[in-house]
Amino acid sequence: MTEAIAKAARIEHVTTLLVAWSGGDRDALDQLVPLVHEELRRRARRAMVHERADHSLQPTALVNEVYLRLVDMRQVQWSDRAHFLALAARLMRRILIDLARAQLSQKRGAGAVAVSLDEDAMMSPGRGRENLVALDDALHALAAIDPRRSQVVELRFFAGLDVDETAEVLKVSRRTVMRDWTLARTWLFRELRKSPSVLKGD
Amino acid sequence: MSEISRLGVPRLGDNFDAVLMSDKDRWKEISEIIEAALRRPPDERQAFLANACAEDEPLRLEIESLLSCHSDAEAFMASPAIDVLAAAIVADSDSLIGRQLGPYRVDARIGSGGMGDVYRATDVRLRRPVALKILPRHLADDAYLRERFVEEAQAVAAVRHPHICVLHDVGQDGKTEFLVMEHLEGETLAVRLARGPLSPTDVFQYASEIADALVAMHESGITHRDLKPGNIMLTSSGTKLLDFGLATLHNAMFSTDERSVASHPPLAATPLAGTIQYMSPEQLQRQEVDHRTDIFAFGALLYEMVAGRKAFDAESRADLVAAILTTDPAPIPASVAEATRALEPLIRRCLAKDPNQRWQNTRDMADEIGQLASGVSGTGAASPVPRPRVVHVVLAVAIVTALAAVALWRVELANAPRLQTRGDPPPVDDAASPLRLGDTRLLTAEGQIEVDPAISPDGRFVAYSGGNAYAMRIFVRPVSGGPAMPLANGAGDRPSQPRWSPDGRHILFVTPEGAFVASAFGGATRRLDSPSGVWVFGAAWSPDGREVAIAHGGSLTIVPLNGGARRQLSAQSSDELHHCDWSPNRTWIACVSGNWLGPRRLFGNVAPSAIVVLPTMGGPAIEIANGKAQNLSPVWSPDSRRLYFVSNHQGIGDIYSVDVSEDGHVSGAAVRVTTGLGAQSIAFSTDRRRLAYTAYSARANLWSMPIPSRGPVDISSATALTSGNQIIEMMRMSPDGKWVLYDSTLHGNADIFRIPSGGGPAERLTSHAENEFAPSVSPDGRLLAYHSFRTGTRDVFVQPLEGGPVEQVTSTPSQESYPMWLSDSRSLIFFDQAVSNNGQFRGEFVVRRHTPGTWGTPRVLGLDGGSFTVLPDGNLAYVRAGGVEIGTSDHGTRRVLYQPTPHSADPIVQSVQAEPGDGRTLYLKSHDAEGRASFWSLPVSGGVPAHLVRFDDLSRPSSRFEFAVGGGRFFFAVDDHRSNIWLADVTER
Repeated sequence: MTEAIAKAARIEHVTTLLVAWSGGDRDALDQLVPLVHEELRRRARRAMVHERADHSLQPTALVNEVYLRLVDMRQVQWSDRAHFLALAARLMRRILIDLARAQLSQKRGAGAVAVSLDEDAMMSPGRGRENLVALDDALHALAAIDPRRSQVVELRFFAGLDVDETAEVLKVSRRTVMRDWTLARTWLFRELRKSPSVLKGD
Repeated sequence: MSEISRLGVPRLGDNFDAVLMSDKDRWKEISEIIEAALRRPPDERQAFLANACAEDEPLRLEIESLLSCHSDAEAFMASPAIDVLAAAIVADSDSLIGRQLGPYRVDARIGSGGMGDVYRATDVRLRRPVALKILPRHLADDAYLRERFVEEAQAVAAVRHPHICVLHDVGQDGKTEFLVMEHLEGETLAVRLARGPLSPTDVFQYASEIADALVAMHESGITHRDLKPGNIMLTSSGTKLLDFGLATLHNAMFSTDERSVASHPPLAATPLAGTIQYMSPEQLQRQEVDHRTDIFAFGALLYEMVAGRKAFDAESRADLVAAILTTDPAPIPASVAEATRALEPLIRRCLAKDPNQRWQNTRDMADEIGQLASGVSGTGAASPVPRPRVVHVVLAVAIVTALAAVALWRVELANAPRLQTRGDPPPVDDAASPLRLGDTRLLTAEGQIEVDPAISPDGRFVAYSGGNAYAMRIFVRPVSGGPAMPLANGAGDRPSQPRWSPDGRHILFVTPEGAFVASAFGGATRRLDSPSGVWVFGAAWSPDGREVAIAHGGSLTIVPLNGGARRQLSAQSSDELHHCDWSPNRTWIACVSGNWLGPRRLFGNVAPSAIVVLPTMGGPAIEIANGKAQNLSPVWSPDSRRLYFVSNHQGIGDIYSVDVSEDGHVSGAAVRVTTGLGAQSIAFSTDRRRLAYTAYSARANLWSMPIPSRGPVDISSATALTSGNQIIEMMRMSPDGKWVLYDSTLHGNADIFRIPSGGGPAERLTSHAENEFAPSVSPDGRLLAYHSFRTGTRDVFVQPLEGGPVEQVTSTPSQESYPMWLSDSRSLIFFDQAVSNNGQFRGEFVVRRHTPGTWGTPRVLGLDGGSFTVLPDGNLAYVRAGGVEIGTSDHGTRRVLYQPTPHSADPIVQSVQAEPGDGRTLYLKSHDAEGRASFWSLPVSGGVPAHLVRFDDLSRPSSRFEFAVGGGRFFFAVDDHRSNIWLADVTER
């Protein structure tokens, strides 16, 4: 019961912040960051104690629950749900990548070195941050030549939206989302594979 | 917009939006074709692409590159970003670096994969390095699995075999369960296979060793269950099988279906990306497996080693499973050496779907491999021998050619796949086999270097160019044996490219000074009338012997031998033309374009070159093979409809064939027609019954010696910093003097490496499939610059040494190269080769990095120098007109420090360097008229060069102009080049 209350309180706070952020309150972004961090840590903790995956906390949970909460409270400033989801995805991406970069530079300071032995390592948790940062760079490059496919990746990968939700945000068909996702994923995978496999400090 | 590293900075003067727009359009085209291709069945895609891309080769290559990633990418981004990051945090909390597990101190993570992380550790009792493989936690927590796993590990540890990675121990520390294994240095077979086909010798060696290892394990009752190229290490003591003893673990992981994988969050972020390519049908169907599942995997592995492509391949995992369950791999292409093709029945028996139809006993299978190996081991080559740490292409040349003497080489020409990109499967089509190599024998073996063979029209003699680093001559040698006869010369040094006249009485050859015709068997030599003062790079007879085409720069002059008007043909490129062949129907002249190998420079240069065809009636040149690999020695077929050439496209010099239509365009595909030949130049006899070819081995390693206080001394105090089968061309000190950066072909193409200047392990900094050269580290030690061919021409790239996105600094079709950092760590000098009205022009530019990924417009520096070095005060020292000047990087002042007096003993300077932080002394490198290198010192305050070092040792030349200085030592490359000429019987249909 206490867990449920804490969750509700957290979501309400996030909601306020997102609304503020959309309205141009730059401080709101700074305040939102710790909340995403907390969500991240909760997921990591759960992973460590091998909790079963909780369907109420699937990837989209954070943004979707925030949205539902907004609707319920009738304090929606958003023109529509799609607008909100697109914004949330952009925000999630920015926060997660900043975080990955910060953690990486911290690790480098400590003299840690990551070397990939084979392509399986592209999927390995040990290289997760390097891959995220490289992916973000590649996604910028993709956006320059193909904004829509890059947004599909942002919505699906960074915000965790499913195919239907992504289609709704982009106002395209499900099939288009699936095709875009496949091609963008292939392109990004290839770009990442091309980037140097040895990232090493002095 | 700052991160568009792929697109690079706009061209000089180009509108940025325009560049961007054209990229967008290109991508639109690419995406439409890919999606259309994916809608078609896999077997129709090749034809669809060929049609959809028409003549647009880069477009097709880009699309094929993407399609080849399609199935691998399926598991990519399967979990959302937040969970990827969460999994990384979990991995951190598990981080073991610096901890001690039992007696093992964990030093570094050396690998991560689906089956857990691998660490390098030190056994503190025995003070030896070991590898620790840490078990995934959720599996270690399962008591039943753990017990089985320990039992199995004990059984594995009891077996000792030279080709199985030793399992020292199974350990537990708190909740962490781990395996302690032998620490191995080398590369995996997967990495090796990705570089290109294996030689028959390697195939037999690896196959025998792996089979022996399997016998040992199977006879101890142990099954591997995950045999694949990624689990086989190639080390200095042969192959080593990894991951025996993980069968239980592997089984547990693989039989976990997607739902239960999701229940283990650490794995949820690691979707099963592991390969199923080598799994047996019974394994895929989750049935009981025994040692015969390893036999199936071994068959798939062996198929790949022999055929150069995977036994089973498909666009998606589902299709792949279906293929393994229901289809048999395609026949091994006829282009593969007969010796290894003899393994096909054995492989097919391994790959039987029903385990009862396979080899039942591993030892029987291993014995059969031994039998087949001994059939080709007349040279002893197939017996297991210690291997170098990294199997390298150039060494393979010697072995392959030795093997070629006894093996029957079948060569095929097909009209199917186009020229494959590096690492792709070789051509497959078995239908037409117009070229077949029979007996092969060594023609020359005495000298250091023999190149450019030409068979006389009567087939009785071979002319070639032979000698050493300092002196070459043309020789004529009877095919039947007997001594080589030097051709009467008088034409100066370094003659090359002999060509018999159609009547067999004369030999045409070139030196930089001109094209010459000599009597083949004694008599006068005369220089053909060609433009004087212009270097000549190649020459070819017309089919009737009445004219000669002389190549100078990017042009050909057609000279009628009995007088008459000369004509000029231009390739419209500054790249020099050489090694030309005139088509029998008189319509075309095919030449190599770029990477000319003389006059002072040794052969075996690493830079790529193209094949172009010039219409003899005039008109634009047509590129037959692009300049992304070394393409050499074009030779026409008798009907002029086919062009043979040599390419190292797949790592080793093989003969390729391409059909040329009547209008001079490539019709169909360039197809590789030999496998692992190791050729550099080729020639056919007039009757097309014989093929002569040069097998070339080139190495250049990094050496160092103390800077003597006075000289000249010889290089007897020099020691090698690197060894191995590599070509190192350019080297530069890091600004802190701790490292020597250099380019090396150790991994098949040129990559950037660094090595501690006092010696130690080298470290690879780039791993792109295209060549990278000329490293330079910024003074703040953060950024690495180099030039690379990854865009098709030389372009400058920068990458953070700490890791981060690679930035493309230049992107024009001309040749931006040799970047060097200025003292602000933000600006680069680079060079460009552009053609001006009066021939070749080489200018230097400065470009500035505004923010990471954003570069300004390059501006011309205009010092017109070469071999720049930055002094501590920010000034530049550089070579100009054989002397040394000092100037500033902002069009400021310049002063001449040294200028050689013409016709004196003054050194003609080729390059200048200074020790990092030392602004008082410059060091110079020169080559004298005989090609010997020297080092000199020159005070920045002025004076004359003092002679410090002379390379007197003929067997250890340093032919390139690059060198580095630091810590009181010179660093330079020493060349080791050898080549021989082989003769093969050949049948051409």
